[in-house]
Amino acid sequence: MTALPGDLVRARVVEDLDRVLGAVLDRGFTGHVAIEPGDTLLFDDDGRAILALADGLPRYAYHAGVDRGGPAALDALVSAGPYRVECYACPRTVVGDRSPGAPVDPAAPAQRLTDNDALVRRTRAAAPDADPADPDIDAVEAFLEDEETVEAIRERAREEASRRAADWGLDATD
Amino acid sequence: MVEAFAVASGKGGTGKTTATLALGMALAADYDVTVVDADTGMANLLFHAGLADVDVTLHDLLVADADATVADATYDRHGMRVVPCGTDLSAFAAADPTRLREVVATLAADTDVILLDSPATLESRSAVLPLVLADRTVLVLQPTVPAISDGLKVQEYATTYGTDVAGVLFNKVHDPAHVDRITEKAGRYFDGPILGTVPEDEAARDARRDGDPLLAAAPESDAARAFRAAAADLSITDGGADAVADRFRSAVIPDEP
Repeated sequence: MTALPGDLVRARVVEDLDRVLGAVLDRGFTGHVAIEPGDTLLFDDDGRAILALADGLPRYAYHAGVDRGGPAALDALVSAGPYRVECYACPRTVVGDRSPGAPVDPAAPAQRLTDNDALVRRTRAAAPDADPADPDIDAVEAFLEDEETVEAIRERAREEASRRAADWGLDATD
Repeated sequence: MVEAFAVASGKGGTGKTTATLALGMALAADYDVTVVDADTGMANLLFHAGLADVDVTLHDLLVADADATVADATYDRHGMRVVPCGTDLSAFAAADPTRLREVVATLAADTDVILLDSPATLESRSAVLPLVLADRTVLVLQPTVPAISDGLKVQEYATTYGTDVAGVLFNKVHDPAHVDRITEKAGRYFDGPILGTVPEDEAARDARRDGDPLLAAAPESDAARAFRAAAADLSITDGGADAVADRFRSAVIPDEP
């Protein structure tokens, strides 16, 4: 079994994952959590998924069995409990650099692996700026507040439309 | 009565074809609706509407000395009439997009609402043609800077060519709660109302994969409900069938130089 970065601080079998995700969120855990579904419980590489967390928030996910990262890794893990869970604590700087897999929305594990809506909301609230689903929303707001730039785009488009109307022989005043 | 809408985006990938069929099906509850795939260079409405295997399409109506009639290329599907376009590139090369005005003029005689699924570009005369021909345009945008910029460009082209903006539809929205922050600000720059916010919905992807319009495949999905609400906010103006047909027939569109 591949060793994960960090020190093993907890290992247990749980019926469902919402208490685990809730506990790491509340503790602000930083490190890696290895999760193996109960139907394999051999704790070899093939069955397990790994979440990398920073300050209690999931940042990366990887599933060894399907060799996929990100949301696909979470989908591969979807299974009824129990689960064997191991938590490896490590410094903040190690998460990311040495974490396997690909980024996930911090609320995605709670959303996909539990039925606990309150946990999903709590995770989202703890990560108000981490919403990779709509990463540009602040940029869009800033863009729309820049009246001068927006008006310049409109003006250029009007000039272009009029010029092309002449090129294309369209009646721009129709 | 009849009113022709260009459903446009200026940028690909905003779900314009899904939106065209969804608005069409929603409006079909109250009106006779005809949907036309006017994106003659990159047709895909046929895949969304389960018409991938049909023999006669809009392409057959746009060639010189066409044997096919408008009725031959019109299919009754999901409570609407649908005129799909083929995907064959040689057929596209042989087609004269300006003949679209005659096709739409013919359709105008016998329908209430015409929805033209329009090309996602402004880079050629044929691409802007649906925008020029339509009475009004519905802009389908995602809440991103590039999509809104391109939507503004489409609006300015449309109004320059005498086509009003019927409204703006934000589609494939990941987080509707957050997007409210920008719809109000965006509304200041668009001439028409914000018709709605349609959430990103796996039901839309599944429907497309299965070749069914969203409102047929998943009528109770969040996205379907949002499209129906948007369609309800789209007031239809009676242009008069004869007037619309005449205008389409007389639209000034010279031959390609």
